[in-house]
Amino acid sequence: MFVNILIGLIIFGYAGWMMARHIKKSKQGKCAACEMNKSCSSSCSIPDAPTVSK
Amino acid sequence: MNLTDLKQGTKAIVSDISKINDLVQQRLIDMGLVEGVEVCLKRTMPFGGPVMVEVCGQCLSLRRREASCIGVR
Amino acid sequence: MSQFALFGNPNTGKTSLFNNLTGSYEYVGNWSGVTVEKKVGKLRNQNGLLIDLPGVYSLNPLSRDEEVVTEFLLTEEFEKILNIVDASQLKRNLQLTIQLIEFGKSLLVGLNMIDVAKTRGMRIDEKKLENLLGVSIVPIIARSGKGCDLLSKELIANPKKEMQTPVFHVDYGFLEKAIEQIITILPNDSNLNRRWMAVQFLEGNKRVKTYLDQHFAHTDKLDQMKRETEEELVKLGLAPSIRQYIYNVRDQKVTSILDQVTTVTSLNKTTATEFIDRIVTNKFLGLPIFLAFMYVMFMLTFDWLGTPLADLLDAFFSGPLSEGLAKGLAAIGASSFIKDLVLDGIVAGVGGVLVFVPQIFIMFFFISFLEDSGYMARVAMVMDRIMESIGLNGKAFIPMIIGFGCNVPGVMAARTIEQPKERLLTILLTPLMSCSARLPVYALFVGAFFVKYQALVVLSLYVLGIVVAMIVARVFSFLLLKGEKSVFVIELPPYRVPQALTLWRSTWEKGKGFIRKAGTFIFGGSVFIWLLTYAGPHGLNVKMDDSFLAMIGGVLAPIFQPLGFGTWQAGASLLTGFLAKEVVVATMNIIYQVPNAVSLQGVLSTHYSALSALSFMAFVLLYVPCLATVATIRKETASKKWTYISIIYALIIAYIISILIYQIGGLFF
Ligand SMILES: Nc1nc2c(ncn2[C@@H]2O[C@H](COP(=O)(O)OP(=O)(O)OP(=O)(O)O)[C@@H](O)[C@H]2O)c(=O)[nH]1
Ligand SMILES: [Mg+2]
Repeated sequence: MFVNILIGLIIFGYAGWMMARHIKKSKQGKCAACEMNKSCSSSCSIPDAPTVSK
Repeated sequence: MNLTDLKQGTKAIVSDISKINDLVQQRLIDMGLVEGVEVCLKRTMPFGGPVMVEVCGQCLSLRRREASCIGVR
Repeated sequence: MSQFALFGNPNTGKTSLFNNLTGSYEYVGNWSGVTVEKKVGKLRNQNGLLIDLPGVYSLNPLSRDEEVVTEFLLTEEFEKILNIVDASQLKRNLQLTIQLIEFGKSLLVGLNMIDVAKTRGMRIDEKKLENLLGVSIVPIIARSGKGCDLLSKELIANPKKEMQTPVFHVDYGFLEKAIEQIITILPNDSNLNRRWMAVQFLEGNKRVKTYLDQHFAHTDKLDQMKRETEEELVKLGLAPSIRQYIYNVRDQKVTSILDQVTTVTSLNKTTATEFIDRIVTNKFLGLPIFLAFMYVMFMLTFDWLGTPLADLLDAFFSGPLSEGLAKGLAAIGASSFIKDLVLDGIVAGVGGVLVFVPQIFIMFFFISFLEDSGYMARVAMVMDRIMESIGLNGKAFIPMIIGFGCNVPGVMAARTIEQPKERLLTILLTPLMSCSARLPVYALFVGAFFVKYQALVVLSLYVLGIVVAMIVARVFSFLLLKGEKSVFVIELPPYRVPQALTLWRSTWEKGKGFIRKAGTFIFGGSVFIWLLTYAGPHGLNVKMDDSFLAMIGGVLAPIFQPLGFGTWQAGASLLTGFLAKEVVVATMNIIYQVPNAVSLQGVLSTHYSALSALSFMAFVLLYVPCLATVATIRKETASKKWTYISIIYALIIAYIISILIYQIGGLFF
């Protein structure tokens, strides 16, 4: 019984953590992988990017 | 005479690039296609497609419309 | 930690050097505009950060990737410029070096590609060049790593050193008066070099102009001065514009330097490149050759090599692996819940995706080859005529090819396109390119329904993606691109034989992501999807058709009825596919509760016909970009509106195409 709970907890814990991480990362786009993501001011793109609209 | 008048594989000296639109002109200057250098028309793509030229040992490709604005002698 | 930044013309080997010095594996390829964003890495064994930047021809940005560089130069703190110069193209490269020296930061030149220069019969006297430019120069071959150690030693030697009284100075003659005047007007407070600013401003640098507008009140006075100077310059007949004048002055300087330092021994023609070009950019053969290349790629990916390998892997997962796990679980006394979770959930889900690793790797191998050989820029040239007719230019084809690997870097690669609306359009189209995550879906279905024509069917799906993209482009460009002129100028680099090691590495770097995703996100997804099939409104361990997942999928099923796959299973797997497209296959494996891909294919043939399978594959190809792509589109367009449009139009098109396939196909079969 104890083993079952342990395995269950590990699997669900890991799965939950991975899902959360993936969604968080995807939402951020590319910068999440960058080492400078905390201090970088231009965040790999150009500020005051003119929005192209019709 | 302009660049597109050249026969494939022949060389000429660029005499005038001032008639091309600004953006393309700057790109060409960047790549070394400026007045006074030697160009060689390497190839033209079919159906009015782009041309391939060689400048300073470097190949580049541009549209035929722009190429026809480049004067050569 | 001191920071060093890489500057240089495109395709000169900056990223190759970056990888060498930091031990990372950033994207390298043989065309201009591979790197489109700032990348940071730690120097191998010292403390220092190296920053890789996109390549630029001059500091005046024309496209988005180039803006990143000027932006970096103006706004960020760093110690030293590491300027990578292509030794075989010195004349052009030194134009940028001059601008960087004028910037006034301490600078080190890495003279790269000396192997290429040597084969072209060029000898460069580095010591002399060093003296003439007044900066240190280290000859390197970034590709093989030769000289890189010396370079990194030199780099950290005395990092704080500002440029001593510069040895090197370009006298702009006629412009000097205007430069002096501008310098006196400019405020002294910023730490940017004022002479550099003045020259850049006169040259017409857009970014420097905005900088001045933001930090300084009297810009109209500057503008007026520039106008007057230009008029006078033209009147005197010195040059048609200030920009060209400055170019000429620098060019004279460069030429005089090169006369002193280079000796050309033999004019060795680059015959190989010329020969290959004669074939692959041939008037009539150009396009057929590209298609033939794609065909061979798919034949290898499926019929010849990929599928047999995948079958072996499949046999392993469903045989020894599952049995072993089952035994192990029984031995430790796991309950039936845990057993089901592991075997029906995780092994089915993760394993079901992992079996397609061989196909994915073969595909990536070909894409890497395409990128590293130099063929990429040629494809852009060959495609330009077609792209022009739909309102885009040949360069837009490069992001699309990259998109075959993954749509995210594809969307990013659109930065190299100069015209803003063309760029936007390219961003919107790239998700229609069939990325590798969709490959498992195709592999699964063609294995079940089109055994004899696997490669051909998949190739036609890829072509379908391209064709739809072109039609959409035509429509969008009609609505959107009015008044904007499309431009196309591209550099065609010499062909290089890709090195086996580089090729393997870039294949691995791309493929690694797929495997990692299987172990992390697809694992997580599988667990939750399994849980949704296990639990239902009436308790646990219910029959699959009474599960929560069946309820959710069932809501969508009627919508898909006209497309030929109106089952809750199809609805549920498509829904999960938004998070990442591989999950579609994971979900199917779990839903149909089969031990391996072969038997899944058997089950599928009872739920789908060949026609509805085709319709389903087309739908998976076209419907909504995955979450990561959507987020990237959001960032790159900086517009909510276009992000929503990219999702909605894809859905609509997917629906239309699938309904056409199923309904029209139904008339014949
Ligand atoms: N022969 C030779 N090839 C090299 C050398 N250094 C780099 N290359 C090749 O040159 C090509 C361009 O390399 P990259 O490192 O991607 O160049 P980059 O400067 O980062 O290019 P962008 O990001 O487009 O500006 C690749 O195909 C490299 O394999 C070298 O020293 N010798
Ligand atoms: Mg690069």
